Amino acid sequence: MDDFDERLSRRLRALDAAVPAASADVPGIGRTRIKIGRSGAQVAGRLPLGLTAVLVAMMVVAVAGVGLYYRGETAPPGPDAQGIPTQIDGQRVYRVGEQSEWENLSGSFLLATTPSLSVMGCPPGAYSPQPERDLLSGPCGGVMLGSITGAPLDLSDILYAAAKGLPYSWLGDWSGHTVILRAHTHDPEAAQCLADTRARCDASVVVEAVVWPTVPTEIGGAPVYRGHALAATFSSGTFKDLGSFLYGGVVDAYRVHWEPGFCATPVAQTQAEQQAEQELVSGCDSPTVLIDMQNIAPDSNFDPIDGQLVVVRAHVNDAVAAQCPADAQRQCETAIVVDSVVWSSNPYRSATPTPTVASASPTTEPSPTDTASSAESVGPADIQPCQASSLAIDGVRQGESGIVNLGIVITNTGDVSCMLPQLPAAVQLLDAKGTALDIPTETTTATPGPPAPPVVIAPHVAAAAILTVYWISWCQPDPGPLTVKVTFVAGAGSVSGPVGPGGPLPRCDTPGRASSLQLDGINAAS
Amino acid sequence: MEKLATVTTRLTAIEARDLEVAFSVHMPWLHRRIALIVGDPDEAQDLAQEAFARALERWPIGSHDDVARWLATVGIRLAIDEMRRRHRWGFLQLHDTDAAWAMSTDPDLWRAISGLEPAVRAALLLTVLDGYTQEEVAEALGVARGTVSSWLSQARDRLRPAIGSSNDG
Repeated sequence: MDDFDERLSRRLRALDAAVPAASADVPGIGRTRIKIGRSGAQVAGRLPLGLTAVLVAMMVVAVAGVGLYYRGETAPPGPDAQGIPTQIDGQRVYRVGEQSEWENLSGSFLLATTPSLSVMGCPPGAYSPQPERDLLSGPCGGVMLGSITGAPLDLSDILYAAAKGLPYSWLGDWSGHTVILRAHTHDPEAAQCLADTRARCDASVVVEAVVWPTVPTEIGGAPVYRGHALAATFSSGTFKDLGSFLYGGVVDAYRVHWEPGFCATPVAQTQAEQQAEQELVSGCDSPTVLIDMQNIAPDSNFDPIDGQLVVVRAHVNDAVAAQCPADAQRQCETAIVVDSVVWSSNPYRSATPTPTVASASPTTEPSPTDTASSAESVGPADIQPCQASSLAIDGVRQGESGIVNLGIVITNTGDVSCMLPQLPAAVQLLDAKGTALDIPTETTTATPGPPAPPVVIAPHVAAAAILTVYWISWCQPDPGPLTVKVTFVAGAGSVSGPVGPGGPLPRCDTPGRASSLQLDGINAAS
Repeated sequence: MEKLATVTTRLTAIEARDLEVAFSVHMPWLHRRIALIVGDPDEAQDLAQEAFARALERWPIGSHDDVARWLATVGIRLAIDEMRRRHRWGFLQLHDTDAAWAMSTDPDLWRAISGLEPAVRAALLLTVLDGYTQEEVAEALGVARGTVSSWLSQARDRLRPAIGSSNDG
């Protein structure tokens, strides 16, 4: 490129950047926060004649999705108000917009971002050399790493994850929800890139793992399917053999406000076909509910909370699907019918509510507008704090990212319901001799918002609550079988239980420094 | 409208999300690109929305298609058609004050590119700003590659005084 071309390019880019943003009166996605439920007619009235009808249709679809990014005009603008940890185990959690601070870090770092599957493609043969394909082909149908949910979305904030690293389908499960990734730039493979792409290869973001939030990978020995795994069974046709299974992930719940006339019933459908389709596929009369981006049948035993993490017992290929109209047969067969909720967590608990969430919380988690005092009133006055002597715990440890997630399932063995505080006083890991490992406990206090209420657990309900603990960095020899000891506040005592016969150990991230246990709180499982 | 309604209600949640993602990613870019052709940001937004409206009619386009290129082709052609329509109906040339955002940024360059034929301007923007090849621009605008090459040469000649007169660098 000669000097003229370079100057022309620079000045054209300056002119390009100077184009005023889209007007706030039209659906300027990425510029204007849009509240779900805004009348399409309000917007359409400002559009040129001839475009109105089709744009209203486009907008209702787009607005439904945009609501997943923009939680309404009252959404807090800053990421700290979103409940996203600002550090984990002393490690700073960077934001996408802080690229100048993380792009040249050596080694792994933590990055808070909102992934979205990209629908773009690239010309055939683009990025055909292997290193470039691994590192630069993200825009060709990969995963965008956008701003934190609720923060203004700006095109300049959007990155693409490298094709190498965590598979796109795994990242895609979290589409539209903020996660904290462990990632790195300056991947060793960048050294093999061609000279003119080397700088971009170096800057490519390689995702290693999602470290926050987490969903159990198994409960009671049964694997928990995530969205990408379930989608694979849909693609292969093996979903018909699944039977009853555990399915976990993040919940999307929103309602599309359809313009009158857009929901006309196709005349070819019989009443039975309509009924079957309405039971299994969300449409004009039901909110859209997704878990890990997969459709949840309206006729499910499930009260969805937008942004909640859940593990549900579910089935697909419901018998009703056979009655669906032919053109909706596939959607009906793959509709996920929830039979029960077996685990839940609210990592985004301080987020501003979406006004169209279908129903109230089934758990004792606070609504986002609850005050501390109302949160304390969730349980009837005669429910007493749980005593350790009437509790049993059983733990599992799991983790693929270097951080071990201890899921400590709590069962009330007493005869009456009791309340557990959101956080215990202490959690210790004991070796086979009963000696406590020297690991200090911390709470994920980076999460702002009102104090969470106690969790009420009914008697003799197996795994009624779960305490999630993150075990971070372990640089000593394998301690062997472990027991977890949980001490409750206010003199309620301690209870111990196994934490799996084996399981992963944390990666040694902080040599010479102490390991840590981060308490993420106790949540009702159903 | 009923046909459209059926199409819309048949969008799966994934497809709707894809559309939303495409809208989020491409709308700002497409809006800016069209604004550099027609000069008026509001009109550019209408045209960009029309491009998306047309995309909706055939959505899902498919993950292997080049959605960006599809939108560029449709959006830029709409913009060129709009400029031709203005010319056909004898609308006045865009006054400098109608693009105050451009005049306050780089008046010399804006005046120079305003003097280019819309298609020539589009070819210049798509190659310089978006990295499209001459073959890709030719395909998008429905002309021969040699035509694009000629246009770009013409554009460079027309812009050289403006670029040369600047003190920015």
